[in-house]
Amino acid sequence: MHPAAAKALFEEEARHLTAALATRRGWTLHAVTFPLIDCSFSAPGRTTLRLRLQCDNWNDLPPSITLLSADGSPLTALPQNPTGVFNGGPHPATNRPFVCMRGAREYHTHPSHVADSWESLKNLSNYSLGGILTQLWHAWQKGSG
Amino acid sequence: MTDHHHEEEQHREHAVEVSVSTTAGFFPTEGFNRVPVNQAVQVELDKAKHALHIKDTTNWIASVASPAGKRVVDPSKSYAENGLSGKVEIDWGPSEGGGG
Repeated sequence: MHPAAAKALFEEEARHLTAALATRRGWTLHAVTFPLIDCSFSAPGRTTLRLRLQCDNWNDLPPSITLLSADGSPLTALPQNPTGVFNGGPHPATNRPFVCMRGAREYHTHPSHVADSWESLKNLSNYSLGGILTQLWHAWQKGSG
Repeated sequence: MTDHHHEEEQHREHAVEVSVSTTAGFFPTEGFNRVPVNQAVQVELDKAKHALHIKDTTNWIASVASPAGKRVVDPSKSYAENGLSGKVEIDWGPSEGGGG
């Protein structure tokens, strides 16, 4: 993907990640500027989870997703979660906990999932930038702590 | 109360005001649509899908915020059957994919 095309597609999708949506969902959008989305999920009684999506070469590549604490420091303890989406790892490429879900670069590059192609997913609504964020939010909501 | 006011009151009681939020935008863009309380939630979701040019809604879930947290709504049922009244803010998007 040409960098200008990647930026244009990112901006077309990211323009819907608005303050109104964030307010309704309990998200904090720290940054939505190509190639980065920095977003926190919060809810009463829950520990905030912050995610940084590095979207270079969007959407030829899925976003690389880093799990963070509310202050932006690397996550040291995973949230309690029954979905398996948040994996303690360490991921062989990053040596960190990672998002083990279709649509995350760390999933598609993990030795266990390299046969699961991003190419077949990238144009589906569920795997737009907002779709991936929403899936992660729903996964986080199923957890506790 | 006049007949006119009585009819208005009855109409209000039999309607809900609905806003659907997605990461492709809001439907309607601003404010709420007034719809019959006995109408299936799916009707408004279908309108949102069309208006917001969403290609595929497989595995999407509709939910509303409640004091106890998120509550999933059954789109095949009406607002009344889902226990919804007044202003209804529906969040709609894909359920999480499998992990691990």
